[in-house]
Amino acid sequence: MEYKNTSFMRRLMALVTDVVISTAVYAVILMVTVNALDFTQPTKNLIDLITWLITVLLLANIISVVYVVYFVSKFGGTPGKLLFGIRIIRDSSDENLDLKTALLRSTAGYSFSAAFFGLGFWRMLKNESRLTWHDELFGSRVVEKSSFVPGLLALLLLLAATTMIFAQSFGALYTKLQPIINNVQERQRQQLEENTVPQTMPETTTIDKSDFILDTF
Amino acid sequence: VYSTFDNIRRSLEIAWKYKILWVFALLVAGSSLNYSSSSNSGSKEDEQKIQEIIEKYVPDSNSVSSNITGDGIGERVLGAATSTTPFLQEYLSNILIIGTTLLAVMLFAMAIGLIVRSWAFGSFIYGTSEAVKNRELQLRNLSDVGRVRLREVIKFAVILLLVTLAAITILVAVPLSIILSREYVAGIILLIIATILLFLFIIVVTYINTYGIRYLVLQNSTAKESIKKGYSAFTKNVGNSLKLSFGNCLVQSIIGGIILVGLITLVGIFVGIAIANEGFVRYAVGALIVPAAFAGLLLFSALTGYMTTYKETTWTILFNYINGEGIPTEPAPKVEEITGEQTNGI
Repeated sequence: MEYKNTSFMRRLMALVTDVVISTAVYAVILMVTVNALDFTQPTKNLIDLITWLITVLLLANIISVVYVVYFVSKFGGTPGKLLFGIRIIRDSSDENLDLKTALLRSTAGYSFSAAFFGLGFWRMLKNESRLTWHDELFGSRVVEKSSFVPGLLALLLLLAATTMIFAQSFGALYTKLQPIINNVQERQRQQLEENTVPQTMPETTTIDKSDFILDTF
Repeated sequence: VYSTFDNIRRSLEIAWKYKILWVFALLVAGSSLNYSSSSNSGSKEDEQKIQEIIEKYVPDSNSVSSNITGDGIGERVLGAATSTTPFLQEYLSNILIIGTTLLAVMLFAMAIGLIVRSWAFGSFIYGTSEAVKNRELQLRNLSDVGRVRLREVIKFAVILLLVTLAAITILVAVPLSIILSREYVAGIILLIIATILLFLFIIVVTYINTYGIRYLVLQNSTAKESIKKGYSAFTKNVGNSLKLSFGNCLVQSIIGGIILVGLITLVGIFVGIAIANEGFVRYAVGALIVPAAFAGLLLFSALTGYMTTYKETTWTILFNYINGEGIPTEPAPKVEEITGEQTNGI
């Protein structure tokens, strides 16, 4: 069956959906972390929290590559693309890309297209076949297989859900941090009060002009 | 007849004509830049971290290096050990988790970097060869060659890297072990000889890399064969190779210098305008900084792409000469032009 190469707009929306999906994953991780936080041991917990977040951020580099390569070779596209009804297929047949091609397309191909401020991505706006450089390099096409409506609905739902999760997480974090913030503020206030109490004579032994005048009288 | 001057002139034309090669060149040059810059910054960061830890946990850390052989070092080491132990014990699991993850990510990034660079290098070298023959370049064809030769290119790179590392280790370890056994004079003489040998070795490896990759990509040799053939090509053409290296250095310096002077002049003019004027003009010049930075980055990328394409084309032309092909002095006429002329004639 002959499929039409998809438009720039649809590919862009699919990309946005992928970004929102990964943001939603981070939001869930943040929510779980915040809910598990226990500030009875603030220092230990803070270091654990930092360790956990650094580990997640570092691993995200590997996961993002593995995730794209796996989805492209197995299902013909990332979840965002699948939701928007578009598939990455070989230009010679309707089959999905093999693992090696998917890996090279997602690493070398994207790097190639990203050079000179993403010239290889913008190129699809100019040519009639709507191919990017990484499509041309690895003999792939991004085609429309079904309607974009499920993608649009999913994008709206995901945006709403992610916003809610972030709001809940930051709300919970604020509630847990509130007593600590109050405590710190209270201590600062006490210190300020102690400092403003009138002091006795300075400890320095410099000669004051007034002492000299008193002596002369 | 081969001439270095003709080679350079022709390569400058080819590099300008085939701009798509600049993108491959950027990937090839970019990966190597990333490697060097990341390793440098990594080591500096490590040094800084070590220094911070020493300052934090070693009492009187400033005098540690000066008093390393003197009295009191035992106390200092003991002090450091006792003060770091609770911290390490308490957060050992955190350090281990981050350390292991960081190592895994670095290894992964290195593997991906090697794949991308090897693919780009294979495609690029094939592209320069096609460009030298005045053929039209198809992205798909270039990529296919890079893909097919990917495994061998990676093997070639890894073998050369391991050989270089082994040579460096041996050439540094032998004189150092002699110096440590208190044979200072012999050790220093050996160290000087080792430094010279290392310098020569790195030069030879660079040429093996230059010729070997062409045997691998353009003549389908295996990684090991390519290294042997690359060495042989260099030893039989030392004069031409050195002449071309010198010529390339000269050309790169001249072009780089001209652009640098141009940029400095341009920046100077803008700064001058900003200083000499007030109000709107100054703000307007200030607002130009961001687009100017983008333009500068674009210019730098284009320059890197052009110069790398030029350099690799010169080596492809020399490689062709070594293997019995001459320099195509004039571009071959296109098929349409020939038929057009014939039709007009008729």
